Amino acid sequence: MLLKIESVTKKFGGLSAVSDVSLEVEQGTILGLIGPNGAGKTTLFNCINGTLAITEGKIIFDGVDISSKKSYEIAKLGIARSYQIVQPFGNMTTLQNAMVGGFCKTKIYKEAEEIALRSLELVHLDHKKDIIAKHLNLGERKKLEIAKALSTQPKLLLLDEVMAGLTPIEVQEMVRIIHSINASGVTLIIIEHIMEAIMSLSKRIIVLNFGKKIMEGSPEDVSNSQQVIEAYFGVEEEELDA
Amino acid sequence: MIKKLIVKQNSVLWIIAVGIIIVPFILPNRYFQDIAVMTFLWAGLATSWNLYSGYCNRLSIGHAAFMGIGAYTSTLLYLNFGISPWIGMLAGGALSALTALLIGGITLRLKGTFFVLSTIAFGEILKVMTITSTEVTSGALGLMIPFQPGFANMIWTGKIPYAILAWIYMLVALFISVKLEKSKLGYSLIALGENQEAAENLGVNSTKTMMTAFILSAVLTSFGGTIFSQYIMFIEPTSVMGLSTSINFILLAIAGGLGTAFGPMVGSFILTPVSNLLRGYLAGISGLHGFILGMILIIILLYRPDGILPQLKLLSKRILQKLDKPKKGE
Repeated sequence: MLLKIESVTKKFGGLSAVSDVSLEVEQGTILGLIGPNGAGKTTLFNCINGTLAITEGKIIFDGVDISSKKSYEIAKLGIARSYQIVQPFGNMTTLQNAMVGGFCKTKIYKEAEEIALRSLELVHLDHKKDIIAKHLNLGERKKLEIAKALSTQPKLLLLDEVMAGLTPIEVQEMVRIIHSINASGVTLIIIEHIMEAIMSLSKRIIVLNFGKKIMEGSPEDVSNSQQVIEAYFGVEEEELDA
Repeated sequence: MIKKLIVKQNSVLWIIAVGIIIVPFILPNRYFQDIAVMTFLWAGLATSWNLYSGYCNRLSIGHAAFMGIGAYTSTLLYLNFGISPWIGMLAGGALSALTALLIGGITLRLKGTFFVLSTIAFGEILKVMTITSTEVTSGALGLMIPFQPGFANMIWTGKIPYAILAWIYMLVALFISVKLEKSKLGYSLIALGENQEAAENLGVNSTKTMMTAFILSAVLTSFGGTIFSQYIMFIEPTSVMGLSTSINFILLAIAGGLGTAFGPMVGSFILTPVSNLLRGYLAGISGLHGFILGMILIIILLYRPDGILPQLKLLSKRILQKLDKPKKGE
């Protein structure tokens, strides 16, 4: 197991954004993470990569307990993430953005540059390497998010809605990019709302709702599950009870 | 292509930075030579300030405190123990590094306005401490350095040796800045300044990065303080530690181009002579030079908020591209 999450809970005051979630990710796979808005998907990412400290539970990555490690330490161990709301370093060029990640595992300028160029190639952004990041369009910024994360040479990559807001053609390209990242040996967890895309990418999907894991299984199981449909569309009786 | 131009632009700036040393030699008298010394010195100081605050986008408004530590350490060692200011300069640097470590440990974790306010507090506390500990520093009266020319005393009769010293100081600060821009530290620092959380997620250790740059900046600023005190030969708390001194670092850096290696130098090359000449020639109406200087700054900040240097770079790039095009057509 590359990543093992054992009954992780994250509380904000009285509210449990993530409650008692356990999951395992095997080396080389793509795990899909879905759920309605506010289900706790992004919070779970924040817990895994150390942006947020978890309230309870344990996260084990590659045999190391990372539950209380800081995000830069976790990045060095090999977990990278992209943000749903893109966070480019606006005044740096595309290449320089990726190089910040490139310096994660090396101190040598040339090496960092090579690593960064390779990740830009992987996401088809190498032709924009000298453009200042704030001048990129949304699709390119989403790719840059991935390139930055890839430049840290991660074992596990967390992608948070990298396809949201993209055109269907861009989505297709992104699916190919994710496949090629996976083929290069990186394990992925992806949060996505575009079901078509997630179904074509991952063999296993986990569904979160109100911070709890309500379902785990193959794309077919998930899409046919009454529970999942209820989570997304709600049920009248339940609404009345509430 | 674009990269080549940028490399070229940097070498143009290097040529200016190195070549400028001719200026004090051809200036007619001590008055103008004095302006040259101050221009180089302020360029060095503003570049040192820029190392942390400019690249990391976090304004340290108490930075003159480090200049004061440099000035007072070397002067006190010289006056009381006869220790050469050259050694005093290193001692001041060491003391500044220690102070930066201590202050940085407390304040660097603060964000935005809170960091800025804490640096003001730090600068003012140190100034007040210097004023009140009269038995050591002679307080607000200041310290006079006796005129004993000699290399070991870092005191010379003419202005030229000072100009060379200040110029070397400026070049050292520039060299470090350029190196920084091409290093892991520099990339981490700029990324942190833009977005701390995103930078940390890419493996940037923010505490270590900021601390390293802060100490580097403090030590270099302190060296400038020693040179300043040996040049003026009189120091008092307000002139070397006051808020207005800190603000001068910031103004030069912002006017020239915040977070660029050569920006603060360009800022000083333009503003320091202008401010000194205005003061000299408009002495008739008191305060007029300040008014005009303020207007110049407002105009720069209003129309070129990036600073002068980035605009010059953009302009030269456009001109070069225009010059390139017809050649391709031929």
